[in-house]
Amino acid sequence: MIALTPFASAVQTLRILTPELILLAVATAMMTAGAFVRLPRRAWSILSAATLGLGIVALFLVRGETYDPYAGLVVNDALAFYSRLIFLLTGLIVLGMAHDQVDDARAPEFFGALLMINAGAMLVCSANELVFLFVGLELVSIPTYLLLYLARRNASTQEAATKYFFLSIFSSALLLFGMAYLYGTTGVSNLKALAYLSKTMANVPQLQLGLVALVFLMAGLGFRIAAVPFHFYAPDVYQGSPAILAALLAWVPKGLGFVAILRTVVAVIGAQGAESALNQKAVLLAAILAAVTMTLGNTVALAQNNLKRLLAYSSIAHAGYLMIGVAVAFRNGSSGGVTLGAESLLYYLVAYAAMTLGAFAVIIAINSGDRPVETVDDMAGLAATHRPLALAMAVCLFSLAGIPPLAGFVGKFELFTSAWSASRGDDASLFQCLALIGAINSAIGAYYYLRIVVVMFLRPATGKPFSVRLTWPTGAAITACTLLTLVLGIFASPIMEAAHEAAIAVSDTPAPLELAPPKAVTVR
Amino acid sequence: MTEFFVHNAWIVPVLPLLGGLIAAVGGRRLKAYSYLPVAVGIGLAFLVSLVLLTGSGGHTQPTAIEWIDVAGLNVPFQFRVDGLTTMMLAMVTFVATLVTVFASGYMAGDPGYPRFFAIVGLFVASMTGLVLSSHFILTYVFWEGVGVCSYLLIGFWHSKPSAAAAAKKAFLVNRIGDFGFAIALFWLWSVCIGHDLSYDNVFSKANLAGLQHHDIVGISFLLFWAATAKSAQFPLYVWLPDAMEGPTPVSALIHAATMVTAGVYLIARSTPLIVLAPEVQASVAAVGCFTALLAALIALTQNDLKRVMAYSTVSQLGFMFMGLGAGVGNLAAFAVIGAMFHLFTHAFFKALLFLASGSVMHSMGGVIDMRRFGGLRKRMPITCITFALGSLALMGIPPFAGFWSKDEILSSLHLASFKSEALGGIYPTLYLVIYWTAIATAALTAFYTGRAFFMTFFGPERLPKPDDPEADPADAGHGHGDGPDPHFGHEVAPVMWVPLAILAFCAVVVGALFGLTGWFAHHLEHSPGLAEPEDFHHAFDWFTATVSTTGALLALGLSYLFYAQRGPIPARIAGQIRPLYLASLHKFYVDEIYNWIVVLPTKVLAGAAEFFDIVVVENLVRLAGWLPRVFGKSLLAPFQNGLIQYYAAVTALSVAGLLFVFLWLSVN
Repeated sequence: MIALTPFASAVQTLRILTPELILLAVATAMMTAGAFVRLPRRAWSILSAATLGLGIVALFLVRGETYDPYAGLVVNDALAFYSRLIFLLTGLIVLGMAHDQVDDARAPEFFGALLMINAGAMLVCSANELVFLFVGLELVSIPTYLLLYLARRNASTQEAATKYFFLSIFSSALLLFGMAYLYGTTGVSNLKALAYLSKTMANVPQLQLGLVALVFLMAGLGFRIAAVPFHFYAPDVYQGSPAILAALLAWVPKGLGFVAILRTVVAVIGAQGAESALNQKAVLLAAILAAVTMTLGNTVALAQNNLKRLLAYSSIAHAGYLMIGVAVAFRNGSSGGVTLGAESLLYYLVAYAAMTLGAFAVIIAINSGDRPVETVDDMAGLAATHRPLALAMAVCLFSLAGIPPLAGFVGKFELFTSAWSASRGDDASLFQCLALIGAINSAIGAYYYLRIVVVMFLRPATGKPFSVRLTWPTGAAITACTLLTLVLGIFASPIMEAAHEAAIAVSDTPAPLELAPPKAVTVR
Repeated sequence: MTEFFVHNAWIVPVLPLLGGLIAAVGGRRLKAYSYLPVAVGIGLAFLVSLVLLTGSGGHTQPTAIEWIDVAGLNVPFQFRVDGLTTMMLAMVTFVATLVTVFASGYMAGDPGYPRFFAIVGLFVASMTGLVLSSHFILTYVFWEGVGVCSYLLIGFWHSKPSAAAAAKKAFLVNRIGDFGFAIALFWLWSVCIGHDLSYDNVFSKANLAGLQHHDIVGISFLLFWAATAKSAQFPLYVWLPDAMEGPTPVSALIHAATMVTAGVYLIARSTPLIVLAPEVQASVAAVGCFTALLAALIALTQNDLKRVMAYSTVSQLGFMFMGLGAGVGNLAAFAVIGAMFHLFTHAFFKALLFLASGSVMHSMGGVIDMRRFGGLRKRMPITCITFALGSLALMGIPPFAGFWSKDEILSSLHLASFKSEALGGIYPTLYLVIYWTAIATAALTAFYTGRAFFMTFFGPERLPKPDDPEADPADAGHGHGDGPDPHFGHEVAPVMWVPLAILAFCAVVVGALFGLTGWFAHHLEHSPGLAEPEDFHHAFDWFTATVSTTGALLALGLSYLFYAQRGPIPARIAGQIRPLYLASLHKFYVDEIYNWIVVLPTKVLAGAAEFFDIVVVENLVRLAGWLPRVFGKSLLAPFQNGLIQYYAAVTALSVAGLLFVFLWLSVN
């Protein structure tokens, strides 16, 4: 690899970001044109789908385009490819679920915001700069406020939008504070450079300053993934907003939050190796967050009757399971190149996306104005009249509960195994406890998922009959999610291998071209 | 062409399997022709087996198909063609062909007609796979396969409670044996070179030399354990007599000729291993001897013709085990070949006896109690003659088949009592005791066989009454279609007596044809451990032959005196030794003993476990379900109060708290 001139480097950056640029350009055009052109929502959604398709093509075309990671704004490694592809594909699924959830008047803004959220999520996946990463995160948050406000204008929606807005900017502030500290320990904001310095120089980042950065970064990103104690918004916002936005919130911020954690915290602090005090503290913090998040999510979910609220707690619980992967991933690369943590985390993200979006898609399909489906009891008797939908829902719920041979089982199994196999050295018992708590929690969690299945299949229908209007895009989204949940469980190896490649990329720090150490600001 | 079949020996099990599949799938359309695909499949398999039998020289290993290949365990789907295999193959497929033809008549009109033949096809496929496989684990797979088929066929009339119970009993007892087999495999896996369980590796000189003596004894013993269940030896023989609840062709094929010999086959196959453990060999012989005697004693008093035959099978299997156990030192090849030869001849004459009993039963409208009929020789001449030939073979009267094979076992026991002097200890005495017991048992065999024959075919003619309590329901169960036959006692149709005649011919000639000419021993010597050593010479044992033949003839004469005329003598003798008579009639109370020492304690344990489950476990589960709900609902849920200021405050405090704790931790 040769060093590029600043101009060539900028061109290469733009080339790598082609998929995001396409999405952003079309989104901007749609939002602008929306004020002047009257088109049915079908046209806007078709345009959005075409844009996402174009984005996928562009993503494959730029695959392998790289440049010096220590000079670049973005990095186009296996992790970037893997996670961007997932966001594009799930973007299509979300679009399928969303295509008829908005009226014609607000369609251009609605679909434009969806595209922007996708572009932002993809920016986060390929960001190699602290500031750029933050830009990506805000590119997701701001359109989300818009969406929450746009979708429906009643009191509960507005309450949800307000809550999300305030808590979100609060978390952004925490995140920025953490980033400032991380920058302050070294004086560089390039993530690969940070990881390289952390790997090669002793006491970088300095322990106490590093801890401040760690806690604030985890707090800021913890909001995105809905980890306890930053989860408070989730149940209220999910319940208050339409199901399509609950689905979006349950997946996109969580996915990009975990990728951002891998890119920043795990890559930098993990590079220090298992011996360093900061690394051990980071493992402890992730383990505490994981245990608390799982336990709270699962136990409180037991008492829920509102479907969206229940799924909110389910998404909190899953943030806890995924956090186990983060705890293990801090040991990435140490002791014989263990990448199990990040690998199982990345696999489970895909599984989570498929099964959660699938469950929400079924709720969207059966929910209607004259026969609302809000609570678990509203699902009673679904299997009697709409067996395929009930079966799809059951597959997703079984997978969420972690029942073999579905994707959720394989993912949980991999996560718990990764924790168990990482248990060596001083904190061996910590990892073992984590695996154990995870297993107990998935047993608790099975109760509330299976309760829905029982209600759907065994309870007689009550009240009005379901008024299901299943358009083909929603049907396709449900089918895709259900099939993915099944296939990923039975035939996991291709995606496992891709996740493995991506996990290696997390801790990949190649030798710099010229070893000119940046001015290190060491604070004593 | 021979070459082709040797390298594609998989054809043999696949043909009956295909036939069975066709019968299973097309049964509804084929109806009364359901037997055709199975009979054709098994018949073709027999022809291929014949080609293999005559054409294979030595031992060939056809190419393997990858099956299980994980770290430490490699199980290819591999068959082998050697002397032992081809002999078993030819015997199994030949008997199976005849039995299938017989069954096509016997089972006619049964509502489960296609099901019957589908399972028979599956059984023959499993059995041929069992003897063909070249790997312990593959053997185990087919071993289970024949077990399942046996279960399905014993319980063929599953609406009949006694049949269902018998099927369950057979399956459970066999599982006990399978347990031993599985442990043996685990043990073998852990000690063998390269964890390779193929016969070639396990029985290779290098591997056997590397095994510790306690490993050899342990594994051999466990293999023998497995064999005792499948081949109905003491104490696990109890399922076989009950298995007669199945249709008679099944008894002939599975519970006399083929499946029950799988245990004998396994031990014979494992000869190179077992020969290194004289303790186990002596146990095999002793258990075989005890079983043979016990079963013969029980057979003396049974009134159910099929049960007599069942106990006789147990007894004859005991003879085979005696032969297997007699292979001390360089006697191994001779003794094992003797046992296998008995297996071979026994298959023919015992299948014949069962089919003939079946034909009697068929003709008596389902009645099988010998006290209810008699003097059938005029009404059923062909059945009578074939039954007589089979009986003579079973009694071991020269020159019938059983004589030659039984004589080989007896003379190998006789030789073992000399050869084992090298081992010292109690071995010579033990083998001598077994030898004389075996001769006595041979005489008993002649007596109970004669009794059964004379009670059925001699004496004044008697037929079951049309309103016989056993006839009607049993007949309905057997589904002879045309309802209870008002004219009891006609000769059966050609489709049934022709197989009888063929088997009878075999029962007369196979002994002399294969034994006397030395063909059998020569054919088997290519199998591992069955080559007769150079320094081994064996002359016909005139002493044993004379003694055993004299004994058998005397017993036969006695049985004629007792039962042909139906004199009062048997009853008087029974009265004289009433306790002994009752013990024999009640099968020495073995089933009752099992009931007391196995079934009852298990039931008590199950009851206790159920109580524990309902009272303790269930409440614990309730508690485990209740705790998280209470924890979540009353402890955690209140934090979610909907106030955004509160949320932000908790978040900020949490960050501060975490920061404080971690910084404090890092300083200390």
